[in-house]
Amino acid sequence: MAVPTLRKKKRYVRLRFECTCNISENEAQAELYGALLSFLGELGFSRANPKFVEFNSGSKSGILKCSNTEIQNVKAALALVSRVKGENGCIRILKVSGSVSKLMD
Amino acid sequence: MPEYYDLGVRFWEDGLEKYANSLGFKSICSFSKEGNGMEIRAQKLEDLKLGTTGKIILLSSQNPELLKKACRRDVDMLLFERFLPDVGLVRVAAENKKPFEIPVSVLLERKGAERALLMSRISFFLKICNKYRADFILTSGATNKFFMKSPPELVAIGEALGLSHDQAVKSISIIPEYILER
Repeated sequence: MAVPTLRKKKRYVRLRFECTCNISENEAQAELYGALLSFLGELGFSRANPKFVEFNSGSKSGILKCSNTEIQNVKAALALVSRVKGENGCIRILKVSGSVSKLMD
Repeated sequence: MPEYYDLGVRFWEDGLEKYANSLGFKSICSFSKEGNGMEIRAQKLEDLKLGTTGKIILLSSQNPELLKKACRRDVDMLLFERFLPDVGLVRVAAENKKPFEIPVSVLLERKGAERALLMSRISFFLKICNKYRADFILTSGATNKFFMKSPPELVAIGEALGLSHDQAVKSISIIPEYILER
């Protein structure tokens, strides 16, 4: 584990899939990573350092962790999603926070 | 905290305003029959004969000369669909205080290289707008609910297009408010 001064700051993004189809955790992760990779590219993806933290397939909502400095690019990448599993849909960003506990309710 | 407006919705359904409020918008403008806006797609000079409708008028065209002429008429917003860096058009729009609409839906409808090239064009167009102090409004341009974006999402897309945070916020709050109050 990196010493505190070298550790990069992170942000947690609470998001929800808005689509007519059901979506599993693996599919949600693939959609998210695909959207980020296509918008940011490989270099931008590595800088954003996204990690899929959790997903509730019932409410279609989940939490994504990413770098603090790249949060605006991550938000833009998710906002530009227009299709989910090949159907019309989008990813809504509900809240952004520095601690995961604030997004857990 | 600023109040946000989406002046570029292209559809209408029951409960749309409530849905927009839940996203964080104070008000929206819908360019549909039931809405409070009217979009005119101008192809020739005769299309610029505008009546008084009491609605917000958006003039969209691919022809910069038509848009220049429209700047001197009773038009509230302009949409240059090609987003080419026409300095003459931007200067005339700035002199007449006519803002350009930048609908995000044009990006949503495209993928890959096509989207990237359009982003580059829009980004350069916005740079010229900033240089000549022409106003612009970021809108969703939504044709369905999934295409509607919340204010933070529009700001994030604006920043991805090269705007500063303040410029992006202004383009969805102060400038649309001014249009609605006219």
